[in-house]
Formats: sequence, structure tokens, C-alpha cells
Amino acid sequence: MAGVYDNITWSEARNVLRTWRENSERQSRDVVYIWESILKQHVDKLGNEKFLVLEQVFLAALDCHSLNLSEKCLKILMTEFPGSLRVHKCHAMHLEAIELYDEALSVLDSIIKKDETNAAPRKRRVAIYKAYGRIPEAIKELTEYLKKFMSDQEAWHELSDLYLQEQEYGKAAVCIEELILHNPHNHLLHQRYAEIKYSMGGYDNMLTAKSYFCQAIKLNPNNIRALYGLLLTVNHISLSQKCPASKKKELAKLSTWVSKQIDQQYKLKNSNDDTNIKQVEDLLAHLQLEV
Amino acid sequence: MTDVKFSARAYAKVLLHAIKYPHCAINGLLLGKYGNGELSIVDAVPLFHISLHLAPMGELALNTVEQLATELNLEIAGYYAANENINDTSIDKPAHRAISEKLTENFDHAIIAMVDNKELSIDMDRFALKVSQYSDGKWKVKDRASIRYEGDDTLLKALYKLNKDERYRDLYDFDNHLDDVSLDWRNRKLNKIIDGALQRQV
Repeated sequence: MAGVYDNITWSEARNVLRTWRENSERQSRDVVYIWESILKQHVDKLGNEKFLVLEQVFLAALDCHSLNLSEKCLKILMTEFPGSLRVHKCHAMHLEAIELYDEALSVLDSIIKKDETNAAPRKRRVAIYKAYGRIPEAIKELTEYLKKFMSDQEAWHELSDLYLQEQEYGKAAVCIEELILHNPHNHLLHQRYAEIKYSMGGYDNMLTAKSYFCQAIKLNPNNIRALYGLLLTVNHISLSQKCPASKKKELAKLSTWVSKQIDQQYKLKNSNDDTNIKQVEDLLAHLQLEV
Repeated sequence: MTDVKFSARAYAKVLLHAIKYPHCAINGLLLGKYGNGELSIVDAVPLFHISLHLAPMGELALNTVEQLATELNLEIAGYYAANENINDTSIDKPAHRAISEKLTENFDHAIIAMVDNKELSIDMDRFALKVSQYSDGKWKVKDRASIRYEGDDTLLKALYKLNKDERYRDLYDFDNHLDDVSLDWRNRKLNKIIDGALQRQV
């Protein structure tokens, strides 16, 4: 909705970009639009913030493949801060965008040599392996990185995703365990862990999935993925031959309860659209266990 | 090998889904029917962009879409996806395999349509799908000549306009729906927008 940003003043535009920067929101298309349509003309009024904005626009432009724009931003930054490693990293990213990966790697290596504690260039190396499509190498690089920067949560997340791409569910789960230790109250992590265990299949994994879906729902009763996930998990468990008959009644009860919760979520959000509710009730009838 | 025909609605949704999430992999299902030696793809249901690799929400989506297909008297006839990497149009990935195997069990002429990221451009001057069909236990890439698109140039022009007006913001996939259940993964509002855009081109 670029139109939304048509009639704002330059200071409002600056504030919008500032908020996105602080929350690391990836609104690349809008960033480029706001820059081109408003802020470009007022760049000198930004004071010291000018360079932060230029960096932000640079990254957004790469995302939108506006290589002319990214090059312009990069040139200003390079002239202003010739020795800056942060700008060097931007330079490497620009090389990545034009698919000069080897050159990008050598720039990154030179940054790492100068500053061994710098995490960003090491992560860019992982990104380059990803761009090559060499996922196992990306995984290797990222595990090396995590040996040195163990508390980088974003990296654990990425590693988990990479393992999922390779269908190494067990290892992907371990990464999420690591994240749960950092954030024991984040319902999304519990949900993700349960989803991975479910994907692994088998009776024991299903039991684990059930506990974690339940925990996710306990932390956030509105987590619809966890609610649906629990419903499916309970179905699987009770259909398994390993499931003792004495447990089935309890599972059926849980299944009824979850269905009710899901139904309520839909009623709450779709108060004026009955077709949606009807459709979800049909689905629930299809998925729910017989008591 | 059979001919495949895409409806304007199906093609537009596949592309708008890929455009909405340029930085990640996406997937979805194609609804259609087979008759007179031709597979006709009528509609597309956008599914995921967050994680394509996890079973539970995938199973849920298949169940839900199956229900919709029965309602519309159609079958789940295909799968579409765009890979994360711009150069990558391979269908042999774990994420795609899980659903495509299910497909072939239930439907004889199933297809997989991969968005060829390199063929996408702002001008929308050509169709950007690479279609493979299942036959004799293998997925075989189909010749471009055996694939037709409803409306041809009109459809491309309409898509150009839809993209320019940022109509991809009106497309909701199943992941959006699971984040906020009031968002309509069947995209009934978007259907009208697409129909309108096509009419204006004629």
C-alpha cells in the first residue's frame, strides 16, 4: 500500500523508517518507496541519522534488486567511512547481490581477519553457501560459528531451518531445545518443537509432541497452530496400536476440548461470516475422535 | 502425456503468492479436473511460506483443501511451489516430495508447477511456470507448447496491473490464516479483484 505513504511529511517518513529499523522489520519495498518518493529530497535534514538511513535503504534496495540505488547508497557510505568494517560488510553484500560470490567471500575474510569478534561477516559466509545451494556446507559453517557465538539465537533458528531442509529432524529439534533454554516462555518455540517431533513420527515422538503442544497452548491459549497440532497428535496417538485402552478415554476428552477451543477461536474472529464457521465445524467433525 | 490448461484465476494466484514473499519459498495446491484428454486447472490454494517442511500443518491443509475440492466438485490435481533460491527450479526436495507423493496416490494426471524465479519480471512478458507431470512413476517436465493459459496476453496484462497495484497484499495463504483466522485462505475477495482486472483488459 504505497499509497499510504504518499502524503506524509519528511519527518513522518523519517520516523517510520526509524521504527522499522529499531524493530528490524523487513519492509523493503516500502523503505525503497519512501526513500524514492520523499526522503531523497530531504537527506541533508537528517543530520547524523543520514547514514543509518542510507544503510537501511541500501539493504532494502538489495532486497528489491534495485542495484542502482544500492550502489548509490554504498558509494556515499564508502566515501564517508573508508575504514569502517560495517561498510565493508555492506560492500560484501553488494558483491553477493551481483553474484560475485568469491569476491564477496574474500572481502568477508578480510573483515574477520581484522576483527575476530565480528559476528556479522561470519554469518554472511553462511548466506553465501546458501545462495550457492550448498546446504550441507552452510550447515557446517554455521555450526562452526555457533561454537564461537553460542548465545546467538537467530543463528540457532537458522540452523534448525537448514536441518529441516535436509530432513534431519532430530538435529533440527536440538536447535530448538537450545532456544527453549533461552526463552522458556516463548509459546512459538514449544509449538515448533512439537511440530518437528510430530514430523519425525512414531509413538514416542507423538507423545512428546503432545506435551509440547499442550505447553504452547498453556502459554498462549490463542495459538491456533498448537491447537490444530494437538488435535492431530491426539488422533495419531489414539489410533496407534501401542496406545493402551485405558488411555483412550482421556485422549477423546482432550480431543473434544481442543475442538471446542478451535471452534471458539473461529467464532470470536469471524462473527459476521457464517460460512467460515460452518466450514471449520465440518472439518472438526471430520478430525475429532469418537467418545 | 496430456495437455494442461491453467485458468486465469489459478495462474494469477500462484504468481501473486510468489510475489508477496520474494525472500522465501512458498507452496500451494492446484484444484482442477480431468476430461477429454485435458487437465484443466481451475483454482489455486496458497498454503505456506513460513516452513514448508513440517508435517502437522501440511496434513491439516490437505484435509481442509480436500474438503473445499469436494465442495466445488474438483480434485486436488497439482502442487505448486517456488524455491527460495532464485536459480533453483528443482522439484526434488523433501518439502515438495511429501505432498507430491500424496498427490499421485489420489490423482492420475497430477502435475507440479514450479515458479521459475528467473522468468519473473515487472513487465510480466511471459509465463513463468515450469510444469512437470507424473507418468510411469516419474515426474517429467512438460513442453511449454502443451500448456495453455486462459486469456493468454490478456492475462499477462492483467497480472502486470495487479502487481503494479500491489494486489498481492490481498492474497492470504494458509500460514496467514493460521496467524489470524479471520483471513480468508480461499481468497474470495481476491477472486473478485482478479476477475475485475481481467475484464478491464478485454
